Amino acid sequence: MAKEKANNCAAYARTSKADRPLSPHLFIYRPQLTSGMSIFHKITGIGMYAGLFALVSWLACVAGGKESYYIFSYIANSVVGRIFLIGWTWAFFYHFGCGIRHLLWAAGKCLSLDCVYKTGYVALAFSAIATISLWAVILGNWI
Amino acid sequence: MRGHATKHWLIMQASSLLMLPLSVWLLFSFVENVVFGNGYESAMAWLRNPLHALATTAAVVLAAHHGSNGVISGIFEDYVHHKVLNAIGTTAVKLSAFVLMAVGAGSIAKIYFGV
Repeated sequence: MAKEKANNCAAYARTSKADRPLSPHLFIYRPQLTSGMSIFHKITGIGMYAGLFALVSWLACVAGGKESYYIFSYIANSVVGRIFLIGWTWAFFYHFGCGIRHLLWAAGKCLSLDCVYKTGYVALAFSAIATISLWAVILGNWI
Repeated sequence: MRGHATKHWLIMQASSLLMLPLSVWLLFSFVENVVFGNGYESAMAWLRNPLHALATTAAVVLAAHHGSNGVISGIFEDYVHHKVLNAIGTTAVKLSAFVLMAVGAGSIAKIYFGV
C-alpha cells in the first residue's frame, strides 16, 4: 500500500507541469446555472472588449468629421450593425448584473447556494428585460 | 506582500466599482442626446460638453484596462497553455489596450479642443 502510494507520487512528479490538470474545466462537470453563467460572464466580457473597438472607432469617426461619421452611421444602422449593437447591449447588462454578483461574493456576501441561484436568475431576467426595454424605446422612436 | 493575482483582483474590483455608475449614466446620456439626436452635430455637441468628454475618456481607459486584464486572465492564463501562444496573445491584448486608450483619448481631445 505504501509502495503503491510512493509510485503514484513518483508518477506525478514525472509529469510535466503542462500535463497536470488545470482549472477551470469546462467539459468535466455537468452543466449547471452557476457554471453556465460563469462562462457567459467571460464570453460577454470578450464580446464587450471587441465592442470597445467599435466604440473607439465611433469616437475616431466623430473626430474625423462628417464624412467618416456618416460611414460609421451607415454601418451601425445596417441590419448586421444593429444585431451587433443589440448583442453588445445585452452583453453589457448581463456582465453588469453578473459583475455585481462577483462584487458581492468578493465581499463575502451571498455565498449560499440559495442566494447564488436566486441572484443568478435575477441577473438573467434583468439582462433580458433591460435589453428589450432599451431597444423598444430606441426602435420605437427611430421607425 | 501583494502578488500578481491579488493586484489583478484589486484592479478588477476597483475598475468595476467605478464603471457601475459611470457606464449606466453614459449609456443613458448617450441614448438621450446622441441616438435621439441630430446625427453628427449632436455627437459633436455631446462630446464637447466637458463632463461628457471627461467621463467618456475615463470610461474608455477603465474599460480598456478592465477588459484587457479580464481577457488576459480569463482566456490566456486559464485556457492557453502553449507558452509561445500565451505570450503572443497576452502581448497583443496589452498592446490593443494601449491603442484603444490612445485613439479614444486622442479622438476626444481632437473633438473637444477642435484641433
